[in-house]
Amino acid sequence: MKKTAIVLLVFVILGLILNYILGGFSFNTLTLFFQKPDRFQSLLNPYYYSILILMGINIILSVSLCLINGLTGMFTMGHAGFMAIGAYCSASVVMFLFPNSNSFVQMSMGMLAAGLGAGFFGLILSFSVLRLSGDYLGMVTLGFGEIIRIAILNIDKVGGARGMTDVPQFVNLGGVFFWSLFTVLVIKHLRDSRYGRAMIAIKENEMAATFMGISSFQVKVKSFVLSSFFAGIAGSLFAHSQGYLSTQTFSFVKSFEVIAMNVLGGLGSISGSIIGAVVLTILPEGLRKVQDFIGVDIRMLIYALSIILIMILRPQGMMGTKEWKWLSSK
Amino acid sequence: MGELLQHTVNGLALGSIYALVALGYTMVFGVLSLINFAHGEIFMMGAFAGLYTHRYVMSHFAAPQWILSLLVLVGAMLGSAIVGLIIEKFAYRPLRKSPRINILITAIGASLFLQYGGQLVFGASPQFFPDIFTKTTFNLGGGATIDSNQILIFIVAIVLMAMLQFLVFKTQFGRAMRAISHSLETSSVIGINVNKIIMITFIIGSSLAGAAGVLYGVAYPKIDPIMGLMPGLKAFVAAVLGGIGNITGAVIGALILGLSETYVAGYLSSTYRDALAFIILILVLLLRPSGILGTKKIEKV
Repeated sequence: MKKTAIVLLVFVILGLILNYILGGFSFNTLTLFFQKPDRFQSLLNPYYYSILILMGINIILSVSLCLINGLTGMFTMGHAGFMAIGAYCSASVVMFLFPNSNSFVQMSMGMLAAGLGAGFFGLILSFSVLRLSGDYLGMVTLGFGEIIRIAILNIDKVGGARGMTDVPQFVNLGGVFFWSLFTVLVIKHLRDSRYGRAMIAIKENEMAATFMGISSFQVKVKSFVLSSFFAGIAGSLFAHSQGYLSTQTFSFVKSFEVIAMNVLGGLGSISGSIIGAVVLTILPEGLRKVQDFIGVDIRMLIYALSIILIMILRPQGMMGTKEWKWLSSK
Repeated sequence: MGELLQHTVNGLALGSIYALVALGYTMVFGVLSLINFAHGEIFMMGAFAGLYTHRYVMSHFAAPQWILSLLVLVGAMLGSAIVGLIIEKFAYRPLRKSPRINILITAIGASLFLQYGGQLVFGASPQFFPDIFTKTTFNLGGGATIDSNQILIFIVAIVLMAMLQFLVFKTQFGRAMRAISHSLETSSVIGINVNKIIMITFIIGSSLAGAAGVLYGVAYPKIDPIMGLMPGLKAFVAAVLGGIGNITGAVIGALILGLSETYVAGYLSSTYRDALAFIILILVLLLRPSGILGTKKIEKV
């Protein structure tokens, strides 16, 4: 725990420095990480900039799902639901509770609400459904994600079917990358801790792990809550970088996309989850060029086909269970 | 009273369509333990195959109505059976020995492929499904009515289910299929051609979904390439509700789901209709994970 705390502290300082380099430092507005625009934005084409932001958000989603699916070995299909809770919590807190505060207060409150909200729902869900396992757990979480989406669709205050417009945009690339690196490091350190080893033990053989004195229920709940917390954070980042929320974004297709990232990179590998997120963000966008070249709308067709082909040709994912050096346990 | 009767009739019609789709889910799950997420898209393909058969027949022959509707139905079943066969052969078969999550992702990939392929081939905007039969409405008393399309749905669904029941419980193929659903390895050891049986299972499941696609088009005459998404998910819920892997269970689950959806839409609010299926799903899995007619599996050390 102490080591993790030190690493996190160092990381926050590094983030500050990075942010200073990227965007300049302005204490008077206290916008710290989250000011927009940063220097990247003037350097990069806005299209590439938005892809990079999406990539960062997808990395958070994929790595946090890796905690449940890859490390603890549970199968969930409702990650988009937690992302939706985070996005809508954050946007409503900012727009209804702190409409006139400066962006630092807005951002921190929004993020806090997003993380806690999603974590809370993760807790409720895990308490009620964790006695299920395998496919059944997957089905319940899929149902949960869809219920969340339909419930939001029926709240008129947050726009309902029209979607939520004019969400304040104050997330920049620095902020997104700070959070994605933060997520990766937290989950890496968690994996190397006592809890992480307990999770892996549960994945390998739950019954044997229970005989070793691991409370499998507790460990599962913890990994579920932490994972949904980060999914909420990703939702908040999404809300405040896109500026527009629609429940259609958070349908179960999004959950599948995140699972696909996980499996594509290698289930159980954090580095793999990162690679998967990067590849599956770039692939559909990169195919736009192909589409322009051919002139037929076959972008998503190739995307779907490549998912199938990768699964057939390399079922263990790109990394298997291997890790990059800076993410490996030793 | 008339209102209740009307909702019941509508619910049973919707439930029969769900049942035909749910049967495909449950059969595939029975033999492969695979949730075939592309099944909703096979259902969509069936609707479009029916539409194009109708156009072709109408422009080439002057067929009487009942032959026309039979041709549309057969065309749809054939079309989706071919699609199902292709998916099984090229997407699922190479992965038979891989972890289940990989097959699941492949299923999702196949589903996306069919959706976007459908948008490319059929166009993304909705198309109108033609009235195959001239619609006549019959009075049931108390203000409730039943129209000829609903009667058609009942007849087709019942006939197909009876045929399936015969196929599964009275034929050599059915026995082999049930053996595989008990244990795939043992069945292959005792000389059952597993690949062939799985292929036939896919063909039957897909053609039922194709028939359901036509019936859906008849009942809700607006079809588009993403129409399979929600009915597919709901049929899946129905299969789980009845006990996934169980054929009678799938029908019962689908009827319950169809009825409760129409009741909720009729008496409460139609916006919660889509949530209901998932609430049912969660409740069933929490209270009785094996479904209404399913059998419990005990984990042994």
